[in-house]
Amino acid sequence: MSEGVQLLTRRRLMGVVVFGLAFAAVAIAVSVGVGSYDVVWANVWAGVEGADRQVAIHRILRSLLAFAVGSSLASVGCVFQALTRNPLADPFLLGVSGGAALGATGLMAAGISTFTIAQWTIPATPLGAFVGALLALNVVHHLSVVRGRIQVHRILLVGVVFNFFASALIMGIKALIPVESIRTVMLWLMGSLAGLKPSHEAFGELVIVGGLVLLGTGWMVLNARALNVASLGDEGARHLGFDLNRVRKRAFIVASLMVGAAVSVAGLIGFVGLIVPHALRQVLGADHRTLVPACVLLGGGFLVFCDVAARLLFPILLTDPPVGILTALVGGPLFVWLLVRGRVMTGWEDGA
Amino acid sequence: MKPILECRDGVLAHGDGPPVLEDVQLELHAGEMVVVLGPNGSGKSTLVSALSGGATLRSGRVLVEGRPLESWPVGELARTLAVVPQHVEMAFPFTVAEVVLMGRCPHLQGVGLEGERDRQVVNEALNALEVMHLKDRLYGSCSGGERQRVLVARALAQEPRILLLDEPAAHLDPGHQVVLYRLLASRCRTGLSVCVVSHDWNLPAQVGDRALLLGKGRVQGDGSFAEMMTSARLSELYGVPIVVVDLPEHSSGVMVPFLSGTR
Repeated sequence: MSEGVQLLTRRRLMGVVVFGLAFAAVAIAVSVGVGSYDVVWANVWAGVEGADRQVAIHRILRSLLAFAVGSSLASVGCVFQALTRNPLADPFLLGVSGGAALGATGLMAAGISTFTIAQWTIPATPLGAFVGALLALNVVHHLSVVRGRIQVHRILLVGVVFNFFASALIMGIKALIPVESIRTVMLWLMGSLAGLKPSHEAFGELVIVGGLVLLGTGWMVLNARALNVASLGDEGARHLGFDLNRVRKRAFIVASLMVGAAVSVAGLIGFVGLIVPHALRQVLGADHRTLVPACVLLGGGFLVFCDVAARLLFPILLTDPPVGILTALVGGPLFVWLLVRGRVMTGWEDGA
Repeated sequence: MKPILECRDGVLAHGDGPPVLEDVQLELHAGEMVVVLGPNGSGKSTLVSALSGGATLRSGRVLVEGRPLESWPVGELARTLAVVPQHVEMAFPFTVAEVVLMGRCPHLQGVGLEGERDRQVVNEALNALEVMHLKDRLYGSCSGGERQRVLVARALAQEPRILLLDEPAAHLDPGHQVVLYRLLASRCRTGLSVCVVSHDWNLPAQVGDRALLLGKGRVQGDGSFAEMMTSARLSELYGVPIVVVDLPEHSSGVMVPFLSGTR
C-alpha cells in the first residue's frame, strides 16, 4: 500500500520559484549581453560616460521591461483562464486589446503625439492605450453583469464582439490617417519593445509596470486556492468557501491594471498570455499555487528571450521585427509540440 | 433539542419562475440521517441547493445551527456544511488527490500549503471511499461512479458537521452503494448530520432515521421509514404500482415497482 497522497511541499514550491528565478536571470543576462553593438563592459564598470554606458543602461531597462510585460501577460492569462473556466481565454479577453488599440490609434489620427502637463511631456500613444484599455474593460464588465453577478459566457461574448467592433473602427481610422503615421500604428499594434525611448522615460515605465507586476503577483498567489476551486464553477467553489463573484471582480481590477500598463508600454503582444499558462499547466499540473509563480517568472523570461531573438534578427532584416510576431513564431510550434507530446490538456477529455 | 439544520415555511423557486416547492418544513438533528425522496422534478435538488445557500428562498428561512443561512460567511459555512453535488466537471486537469485536497481549502490560510493533519484527513477519506488507488489519476478520466466517490471523499475531507448529498449512489454498483451507506451510518453515530437525496428506497430504509417525501410541489410526508414506506404511499407518490415487501428476518422491507397492477 502506498503512503497516500503527496502534498505540495514548501520544497517543491521553492523549487519552482528558484528554477523560475534562474531562468529569468539567464534570460535577462543574455538579453543584456547580446546585441548588434559590442558593449565594452570595462568602460561601463569604470563609469565612463559614453556609448557603452548608454547602450548598457538601455539594454538593462529594455530587458527588465520585457520581463515585466511578459510576466503581466502570462499571469493575467492564467488567471483569466481559471476564472472563466476557459482554456482559450487570454489577457485581451475583456476587450482590452481593442480598447487599447482604439485609444492609441484614435490619438494618432487626431494628430496628438504628446501631452504636456506642467513640465512633463507624456507620449500620447501609451496613455491613449492605457485609457482605452481601462474604458473597454469597464464597458465589457458592465455589460457582463446580470443582477450583480458576472456572467462568464457574457464576458466571452461581449469581449469578442467588442474587439471586432474596435477592429472595424481602427480600420476606419487607418483609412483616414496619413500614410506615414500608419507604420508607427502598425508596429505598435503588432507589439514591440523597439521604440527607442530616453532612459528616464523607460525607467518610469519600468517602475509602473514592475510595481503592478509585484502587487498583482502577490494578490494572485494569495488567491491561488480560489483560482483552483474556480475550476468547479461558481456553485462548486461556494461549497468550498469561496465567493467567485467577489474574487472575479477583484481579479479584473488587478488584471486590467497589469494588462493596461503592459499594453501601453509594448503594444499588443499576442500569444504569451495564452501559451505560457497552457504550456506550464502541462508540465506542472493545474495547481495555481505553483502555476501562478511559474507563469510570472517563466512568462517574463520567455518574452525576454523573444526580444533577444528579435534583436538578433536586426542585422539581417535591417529593422527591429516586432516581438509580437516572434512570440507567435516561437510559441506556436512549441505549443503544438507540447500538445502532441504532453498529457491531456483540459479536465474535459476522457483519456483514461 | 434544537435542530442543527432547519427550513421554516420555505418557498423555493428558480429566478422569477413559479415555485418549485411550497410550505417546506425540514428539521435535521445532530447525528440524524434524513432521506429526501420523490419523483423526478419534485424539487429534491432545489431543496439541497436552498439548504446550502445556492438557491435563495422566495420566502421562509433556513437556519444552520440556529443562525440564518445568509448570515454565514461562505468560508465558515464550508467548514460546517459540505455538499456532494450530483456531478462536478473540472475545467482543468486536476488529479483525484488534488480534488479531495480541495476539501481542506476552507481550513487553510494564505497560500494554503496543507500540513500533515490535512494529509491524514484526506488519506482517511480516500480510503473510506475506496478511491485511494485513483489518487494520481486525472479526475476527468474517472468513471461516473468513481467521480461520485471522489466527491464524497472531498466532502468528508471538509470535516463538516452537516453533510448534504444529492443522489450520491446514482452511479454506484450495489457493492459501493453498501460501502457508502455504511460509511454514512457510521459517521452519523459519531455526530455527523446527513441529508441525502435518493431514488432508491431499499438501502436508505436500512439506515435512514426519517424519510421526507416530496411531490406535486409540496412535502407529502415526513416520518420514519416504517411509517412512510408503504405500498399505498409509494404507489401514490410515483403514480405506478409499487409493492413494499416485508422481510421478517431483516429490519426493513424492500420496495418493488411493477409494470402493471396486481392480477
